[in-house]
Amino acid sequence: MVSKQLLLAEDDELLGSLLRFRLQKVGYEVAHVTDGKQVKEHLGEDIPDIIVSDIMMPYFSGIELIDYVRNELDSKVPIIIISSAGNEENVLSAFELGANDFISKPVSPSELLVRVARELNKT
Amino acid sequence: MQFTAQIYRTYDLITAPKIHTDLLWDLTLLFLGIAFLYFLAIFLFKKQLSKRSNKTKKIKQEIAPMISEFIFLEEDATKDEKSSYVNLKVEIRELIKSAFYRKTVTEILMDLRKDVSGTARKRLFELFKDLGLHQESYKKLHALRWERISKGIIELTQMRVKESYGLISKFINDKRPTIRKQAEIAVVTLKPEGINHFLDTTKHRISEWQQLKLMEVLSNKENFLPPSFRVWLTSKNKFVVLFALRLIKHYDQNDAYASITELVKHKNNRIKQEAIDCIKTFHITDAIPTLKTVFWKCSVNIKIAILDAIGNLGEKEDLPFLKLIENKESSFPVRSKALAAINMIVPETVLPTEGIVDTKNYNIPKDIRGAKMETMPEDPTIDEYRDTITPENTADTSTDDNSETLPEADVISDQGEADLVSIKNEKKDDEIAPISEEPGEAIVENTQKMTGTSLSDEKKSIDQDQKTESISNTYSMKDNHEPKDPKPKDVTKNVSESSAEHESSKKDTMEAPTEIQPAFSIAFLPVVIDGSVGTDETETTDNVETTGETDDVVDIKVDFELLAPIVEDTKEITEERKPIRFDVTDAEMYFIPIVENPLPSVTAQYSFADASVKTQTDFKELEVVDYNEIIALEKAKKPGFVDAKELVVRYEAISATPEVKTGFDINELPVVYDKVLGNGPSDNAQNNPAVNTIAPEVTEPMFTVVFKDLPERPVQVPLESTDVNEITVSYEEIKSIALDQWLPVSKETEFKEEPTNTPLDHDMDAEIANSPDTEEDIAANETEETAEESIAEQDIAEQQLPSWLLKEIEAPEETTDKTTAIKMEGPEWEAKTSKMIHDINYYLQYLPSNKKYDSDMVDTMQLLDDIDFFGDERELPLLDELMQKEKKEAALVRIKDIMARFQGNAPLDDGNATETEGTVKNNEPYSIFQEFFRHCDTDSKLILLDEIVAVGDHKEVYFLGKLLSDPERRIRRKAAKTLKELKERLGIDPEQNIEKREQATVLNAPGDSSEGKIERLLGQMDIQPPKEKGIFDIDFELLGEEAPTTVTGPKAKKKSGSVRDSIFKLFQRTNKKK
Repeated sequence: MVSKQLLLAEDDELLGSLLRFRLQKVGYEVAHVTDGKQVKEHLGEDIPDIIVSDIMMPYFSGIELIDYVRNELDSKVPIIIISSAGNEENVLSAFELGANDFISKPVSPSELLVRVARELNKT
Repeated sequence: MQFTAQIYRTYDLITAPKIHTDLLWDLTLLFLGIAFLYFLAIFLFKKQLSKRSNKTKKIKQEIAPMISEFIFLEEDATKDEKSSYVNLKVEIRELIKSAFYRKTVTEILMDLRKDVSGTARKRLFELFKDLGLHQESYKKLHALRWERISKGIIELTQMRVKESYGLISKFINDKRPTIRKQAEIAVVTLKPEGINHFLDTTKHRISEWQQLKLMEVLSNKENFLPPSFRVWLTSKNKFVVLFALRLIKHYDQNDAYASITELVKHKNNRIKQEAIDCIKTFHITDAIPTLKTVFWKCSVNIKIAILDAIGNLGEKEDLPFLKLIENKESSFPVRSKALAAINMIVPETVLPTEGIVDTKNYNIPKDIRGAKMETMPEDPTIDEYRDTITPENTADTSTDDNSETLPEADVISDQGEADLVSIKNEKKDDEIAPISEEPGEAIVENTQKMTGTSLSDEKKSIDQDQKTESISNTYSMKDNHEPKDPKPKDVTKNVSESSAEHESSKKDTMEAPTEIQPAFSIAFLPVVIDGSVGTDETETTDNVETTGETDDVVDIKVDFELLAPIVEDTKEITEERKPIRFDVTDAEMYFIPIVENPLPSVTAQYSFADASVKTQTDFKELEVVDYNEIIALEKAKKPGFVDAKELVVRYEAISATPEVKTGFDINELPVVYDKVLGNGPSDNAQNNPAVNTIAPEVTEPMFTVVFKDLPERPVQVPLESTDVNEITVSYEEIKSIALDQWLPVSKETEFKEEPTNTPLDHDMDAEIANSPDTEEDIAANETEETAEESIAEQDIAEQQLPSWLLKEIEAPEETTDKTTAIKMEGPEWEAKTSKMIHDINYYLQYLPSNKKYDSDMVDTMQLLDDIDFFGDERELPLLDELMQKEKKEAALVRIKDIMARFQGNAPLDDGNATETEGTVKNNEPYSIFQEFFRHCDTDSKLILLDEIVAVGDHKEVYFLGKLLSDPERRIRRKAAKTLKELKERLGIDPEQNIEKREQATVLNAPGDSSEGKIERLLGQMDIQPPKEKGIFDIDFELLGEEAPTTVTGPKAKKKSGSVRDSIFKLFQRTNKKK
């Protein structure tokens, strides 16, 4: 079975490292980036099977990322947004722009796994 | 001018100072130097910060994967993963010896705690404690600086170290507010009972922000069961009272009405305000008089709050009070609120007056005005009321009344009462609605009258309400409120009052008291029938006597109707004689006591006219119960009356439907065995009904009971009948496996004692407890019992057996049937049987007994296995705690075993223990490092030896002893050094050092030369001496000296020497000792 590629955009290195470890443990091929520039660079090279992105990131927010992927790259890759609790407006904007799912902080790694698997199963 | 002259004179005195140029240069250089130093300090400080930040970042990058490993280690991890886990643990423990690392790891864990949830978060908490970082936080609690203490409390709180509860709770009354607040939050967070402790003990102020934080903590607590906060309403700390009131409101604890009402009188405005809010929230209508009492002494805000509460809870009785406020209160917001409250109680009472044009002076043509007035008649009372509440009037009255002292509640009531008396005199009788007939309409009517009428009219209606609506008020409900007064009012009193009032008002028009229209159905009155058809009036003497008012009603002339006799068709008569009913809703009639008939309702049809008619086939005859009536009729003996003895009472057939249990648990049923395959006859059970109903507890492993077509438990079996004995239960045969030929007779004899038709209502547990033990019976058959013993046992058994079972046992015919059906006789059979039983018992004693663990036990044993495998002496506190909690013997034995081993008092396992993958020998302590040493290279082994010094224990001492004979020299040397350091760390007595003793023995062997001893010692240490002695001079660290781990430089030279020299020194030292 070919492992799925996952792009994890999370500016908090600790959390990113933790989530990457968890996702790698179940077999995903995870690329962890910490800001918007790196996200763009990574997406310019290759489009992963799924993107998990924080909303608040330097240079390039999660909302802009969705807009970039959906409109400029014209890709339908599933995007899961990680947002802080009580950030409903951003979440709504994300959904309007084409986000597939969202998960709020504090993140339960197990929950994230389930959501990622569900989105990949849809595709 | 004079002033100007002075100024000029003063300026004249100022002259430019003469400063030497060199001094100026010196000063310039000085300030330049200071500036340089300043910028240099800033630069250095910033660089240091940057360096520290980079270092922290680097450490975080280094440690984050380790923490991820710790968090996501699964229970079913492979052995490699577990080994890696142990390695990481060793590594991280080594790292956190450094204070900087410790601080960084703590920061990482605290940061991650915010970002992760669920199981990962719990693992973080565990890891925090496991790494011993909470000890560092404990130390902070003892610091002198408040910020360190506060930080320690925060760390312990956020990482949920419940053990710190006792330590932190001491800071609740600390004089430093920051520490105090942190302690309050910590205490509430760490334990559910923390809030109780906090409210009980705090003496200080609880700020608003702090209250919000505490409520947030409580709201976020999982499975939090709030205590009854009314307990703290009596606290001497007013902030506790205030907080308790808020908590009561937050958790909807409506069990403190009296206390809350009393707190309205509190001198603190915030408590008062909160109490009023509670009153409004919980609809405490009983508190309205208290609110009215305290109103006049309150501040404006409290007055507004009180008026708001009265507006929400009040009724029409409160309108005079509100009107009084509107007239007497000087504050505009209060007056406005009073008007708003009036409108809240009775909407549209006060109409808008501001900017309303007076239409009285409009020139409208007479014809148009007439037509308009006819179509839209304006209620004059509205104008009247508007006049009373015009701003001019209110201003006047308020200014007049302001000079007076604030009235008390009794003054208000007096005034209101005076108004009511005057209104009462003016009120006409025809305006009073007959409440006894149609109370609902009366309410509506009165409410309509209230709308747009003046307050005096309202008072009239209030008076009217007092007389006539006392009942209706109790059951009239507002649209969006609950009933105002939860206490039941004295309805009977109100009814009697209303009827009395009604009577007095109509006294003149009434001719006889009997003409009062009753408020209730009169269907229960006996019907008086004239024998002749027509409209003749008959005196009713005896019949009325039954009502108990014979003297007054003897002369009453009663109109009556003719009732046709019942012949065949009872339906027609039933329709004709419907009871008189009033159109009242259930809500209106709720004050009537509800009488429940315990028996099914029976409708009886009386036939007075034709008593000789016999009953229908579906009717039954009943005896007349009302003897008084019969006697009265008998005494009458007048024409037109019917002899009551001849009355035939008809009633409808009663279909009794008692409550039947519609389902029951199949577990309550006894297990039923139909067939017992074995040596007995296969159709035994079919022949013998007793076997069908027995419920033996099968304890022997010889049988496998297979149930077929039985659903999973529990099963609810619907019952159509009340007799549960009729239930049939599906079952299948009991098959014996392999031993079916051996089935002893004694097993069947058990069945003989079992009863038939076991009732379901007996205690199954008792039955099971009293059921005979099969093995005992077998043994009893083997050894021949005396008659006395059997009798004694029988007596005991009879005492223990329930009565129904005894009856069944005593039934002679059934007993004989059972014995004859299954008994197998003959000496050959008995001999064979006893041999077989002996064989069975022989094999049974070698079979391991079943260990039936429940899920908790399995978890515990699993945990103990893990501890056994991974743990060391540091797990002793945990084991100790487990031992205190655990009650099961198997677990206790296991814990004791592990503890003994960790303490070094016992070998790894008992004699039956097998070797764990070849690494563990019997009676040898197992070290985890043995595994690592097997697979790693020499360098790794050397690193691990360093780790052993840090984390090793007694097990490692043994292991290191073995390493002293390792083929690799570096390992041997390092092991010796490690062994020494480890023993020092563990506090092992050097005299007990086996190696030393051995060396001493070797060196002091009698008749040995020095060279021989050395050679023997070298042989013992597995050291091959070089051929050339010059090569033998190498640097090495002396075993017995306290050298640092790495010694370099001149000191190293001093301490280094040849092996030969060292051994000689050792030899000399040993001789000196001797």
